[in-house]
Amino acid sequence: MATATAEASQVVCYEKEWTGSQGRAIGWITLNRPGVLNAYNVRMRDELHEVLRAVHDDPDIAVLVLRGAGRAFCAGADLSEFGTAPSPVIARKVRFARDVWHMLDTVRCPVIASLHGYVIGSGLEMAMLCDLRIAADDTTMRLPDVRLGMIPAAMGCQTLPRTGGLGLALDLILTARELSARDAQAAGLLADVVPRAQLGQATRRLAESLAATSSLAQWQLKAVRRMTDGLSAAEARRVERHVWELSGRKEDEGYAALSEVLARFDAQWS
Amino acid sequence: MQIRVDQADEIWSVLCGPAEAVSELVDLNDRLQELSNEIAARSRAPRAIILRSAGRRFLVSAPGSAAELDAGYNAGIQLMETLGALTVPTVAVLEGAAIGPAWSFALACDLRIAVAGARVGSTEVSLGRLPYPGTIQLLTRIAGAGRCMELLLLSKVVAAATARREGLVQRTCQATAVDAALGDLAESLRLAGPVALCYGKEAVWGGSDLPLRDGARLEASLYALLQTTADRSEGIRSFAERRPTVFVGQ
Repeated sequence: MATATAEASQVVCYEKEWTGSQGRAIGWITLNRPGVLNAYNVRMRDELHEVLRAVHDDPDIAVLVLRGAGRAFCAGADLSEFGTAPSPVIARKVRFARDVWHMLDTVRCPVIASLHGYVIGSGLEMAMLCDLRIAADDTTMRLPDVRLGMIPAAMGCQTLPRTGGLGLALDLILTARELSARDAQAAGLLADVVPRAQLGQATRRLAESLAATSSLAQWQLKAVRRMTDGLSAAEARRVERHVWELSGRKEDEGYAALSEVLARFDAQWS
Repeated sequence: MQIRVDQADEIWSVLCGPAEAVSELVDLNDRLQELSNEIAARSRAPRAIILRSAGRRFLVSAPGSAAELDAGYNAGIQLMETLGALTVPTVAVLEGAAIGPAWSFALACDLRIAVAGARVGSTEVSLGRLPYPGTIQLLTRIAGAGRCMELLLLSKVVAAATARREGLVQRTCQATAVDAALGDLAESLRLAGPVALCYGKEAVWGGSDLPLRDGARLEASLYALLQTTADRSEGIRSFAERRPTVFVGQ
């Protein structure tokens, strides 16, 4: 187990990198507890919360990448901290007060998960909250929660059925079976699988190509996807039309108008 | 209708039929209702129910006519609802044909395991009828909307390997290895907490009917409830002590 001194540096690193395109940057988020395979702990949650808030407020970020330092993307929750919350009531309150899963899901620009090694538990759930996933061929995915008497609770019970289908989701969640990169790609969870040594380069190429074509349309696409989940087809069409009609404005006006639409949408939940 | 229920283990198995007509499955429906009531009354739920038929057809023969489908409608709709309402994970074992209503019943289970050589699909549209209610929604959510329309409109029957590739079934095995494959599946379910299995199932199915945001709340609430269980404490303790977990189902 990592000690406090070993973790004096940040456990979530964030870097904003300007691209060749004027005013467009790639945000690189790196989970950085390599000594414990980037196990997700309270500190990581808090730092991720800070970073995502900065990303939400930064209109320059055209693409966000989430990756892990060391031998794994993320081996899941740090079990050494489990049971340390004062009570289930408080734990649930904090879950929504510091809702990093919602924040990750609602980043306005495209988000890429760059996966390698262990992608376990909340690591896999985090990846499923991203828009695109690219993985090294050494990637192993698994949701072991039921074996500890728990269930995935970083929205994994919601995101997996929506992306991979109900059958795959129930299989992964109920039987805790392992999923290889190849199987995950066949199931439609991964945009690409590459040799481990090429993951960094392939991720960069994907991020740069998205940044180069960055436009209001990418944000509109994400907004529609988010706002139409669970709606009837007729209602969803109304939302699509409303968002479509923000096209063709001057660029900054379009982004501002979309932000307003999203703020109104989010207000109904709070 | 011959129905044999084995509750000796924490994985219950129900061996039924195959029947010639869906109407004969009223007995299976009654038996599953009884099991459902029993689960509700018990302090400890079984980890799963495995549904299986003797021989090479799952539950009931493929339908031959619209009249046959009409005759089985009431029994069929009841069985779809009973299967959907079971709170514990359900597994359908497909050892040959699961065509028409039989495939609908398999889709209403959580997991499907098929032997090489098994064939599955809904042929009702070719007979001038819809598959029994619930099937279209299930297939859309399991296979995706595009594939669902293709399968149903063309009344396609697909082989086990194709079904596996497309996520319609979760496991395939050789016909001679069904017991071993079921044993593996049962073993992985036995390693899980019984309450967690029920709540995991509820979080997925319940959330699939909700907007993402509400689904996330349901999931978080079930998770918070699990935090109060003895099994969750045992799960963490046994992990820390690197020993096998002993769940009590509470």
